[in-house]
Amino acid sequence: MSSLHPSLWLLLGAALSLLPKGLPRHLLVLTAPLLGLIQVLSLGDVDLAISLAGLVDLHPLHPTPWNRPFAMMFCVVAFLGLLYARPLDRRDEDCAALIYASAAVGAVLSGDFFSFYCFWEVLALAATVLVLGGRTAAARGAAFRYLAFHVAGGLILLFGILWRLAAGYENMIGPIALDSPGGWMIFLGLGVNCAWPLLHTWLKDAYPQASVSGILFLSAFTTKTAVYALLVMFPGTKILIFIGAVMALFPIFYAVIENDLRRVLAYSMINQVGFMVVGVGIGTELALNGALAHAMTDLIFKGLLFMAVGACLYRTGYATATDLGGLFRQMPVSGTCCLIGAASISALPGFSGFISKSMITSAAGAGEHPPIWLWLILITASAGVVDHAGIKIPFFAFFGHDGGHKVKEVPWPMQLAMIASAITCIVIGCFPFQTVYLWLPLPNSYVPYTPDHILAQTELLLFSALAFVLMLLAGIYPPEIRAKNLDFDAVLGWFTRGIGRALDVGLNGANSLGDALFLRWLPHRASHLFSNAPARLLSGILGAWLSLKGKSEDEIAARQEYLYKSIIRNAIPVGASAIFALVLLGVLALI
Amino acid sequence: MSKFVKSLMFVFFLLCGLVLVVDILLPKHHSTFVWENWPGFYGAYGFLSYVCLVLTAKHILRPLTMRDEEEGGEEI
Repeated sequence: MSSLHPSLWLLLGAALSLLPKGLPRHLLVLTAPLLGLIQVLSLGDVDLAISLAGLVDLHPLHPTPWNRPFAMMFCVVAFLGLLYARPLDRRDEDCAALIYASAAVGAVLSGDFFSFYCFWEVLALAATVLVLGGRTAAARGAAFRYLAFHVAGGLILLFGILWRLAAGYENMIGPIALDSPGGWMIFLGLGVNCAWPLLHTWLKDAYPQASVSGILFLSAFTTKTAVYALLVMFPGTKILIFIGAVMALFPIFYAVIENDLRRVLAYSMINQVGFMVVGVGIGTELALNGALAHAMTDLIFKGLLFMAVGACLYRTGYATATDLGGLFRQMPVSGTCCLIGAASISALPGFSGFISKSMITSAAGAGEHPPIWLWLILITASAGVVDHAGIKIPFFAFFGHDGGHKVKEVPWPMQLAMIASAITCIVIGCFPFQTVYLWLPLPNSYVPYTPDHILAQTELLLFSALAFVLMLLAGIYPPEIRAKNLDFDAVLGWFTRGIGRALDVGLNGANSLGDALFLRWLPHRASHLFSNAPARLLSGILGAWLSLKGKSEDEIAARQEYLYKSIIRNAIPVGASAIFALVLLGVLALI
Repeated sequence: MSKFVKSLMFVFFLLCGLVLVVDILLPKHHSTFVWENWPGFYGAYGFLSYVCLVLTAKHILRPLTMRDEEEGGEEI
């Protein structure tokens, strides 16, 4: 059992999720991630090696201190998501979700690049199915764009892996230097899944189109797998500090003006992943531990927030700030859990985000000459999180103006999943050394709960919230508007449409030209030539012969015209035509 | 504004004031940057950065990026 791949349990669950609807199916679907979790926890120092036709050794199961926490949390999140999804009772989505979780667990547990790549591609396919699960025209379009993005990213990753193998590098996963095109291609391929700036549009485009439960799985696996890959392949790569800083900063501006609360959370995901990427880029023990810890806590609190907004969508049919509001009295459990998720993501002391995000912020300010700009950006981003996730989501969904919906609380499996997630956030926040810090791969001496730190973070959050309250009372806070906001995808759309038009004009133009030239003009001219040439040639010969005999020009012209018309009307005997044709061919051959 | 909301806001303002007083009185340790020791630095920075964030999003980003939901007839 100790060498059994945990993904197999999840795959088995995926197969069993296709059974006819009923209680046994629900139980089997929920059991699969739990068995996967037990399997991850029971993995010893195993290294499953498979030789692929003697060409390359695959290591699909290679547990390390870096990947165990991810695999464990993926199973936990899969379980919580599937529990939440029970009332929806969708076999297609359950199956895709379990395959997706299986691929994520497989990717992080892989010991070699090829195995990692195979699981990576399955991730993209399963996620596409989950986006399609939105079952709308918009979801279909978003799924297509999602797939296009990730197939492109996957190919770049594959080329990078092949380049490195061809250059003699090892197939085993380990730190990669950005000193070769292969390294850069792997770096970029991971960046697509990590939603780096300008490569991020698929996330805010596709995720909000998924179903109420589908988005839970989408929010968990793709980006966190990429964060894991960056942790083990590019620790301490300084350019990641800049990339992560931009990721942490720019989404908070979009989140302020975005009306769709699930898209607000999508931007929030980029913001939180930005913190993790900064941690990877800093590369110190504290920073790397912080990036991993923040990935673990983010998996729970972000899932919880998506669940809470999903609960509103499930009951009211809306996930937009303009259409929601005042639901707390009718959905108190969802509302309370949403507040706990909001406190966690805002890193309020006592909640999970505090014990992980603070590690990265502290790492950014550590050392003899810490970069001031980075520290200020992270603090600003922390204040920004208060706005979009800490205040906007709970306020506009559960408080604020009354949306006029008369609904009841969501079914108990959904409540149970939210309550379990909320409790996890509090337990992790209150007991970090007994939970998340136990799983950190590097030595950890960080103590999050110091008076200075608690006070600083509380003050930052409280006064950010104070700014919100005062701006709201003064009417300065921007009202929610039903609109879409152009992001970089507008540029991508313009670019791809430009390519489409260029191809349209170029290829269709060439096609039209070829049609006119080779299918119309040339055959017409050839037909004309071959039907008239014998007649013109013979009438020319006749004219020359008659002029040699001294005939008048009028007579020559009349005899030539008579001969020409006779040939055109086929009035010449066949034998004579054959002779003329032979003469013409002879002339052509001589030419 | 209901009485409940008013009392809630009163508690919130009180809390802000309390935290500020504690910040002024509490001696600081382990500060990375000198300004972290300034009384109320985190409160002021959080407040100002939040105001800047919201005003930038409202007056610069929204006018530049906002479009009608149905504009162009295609999802982006």
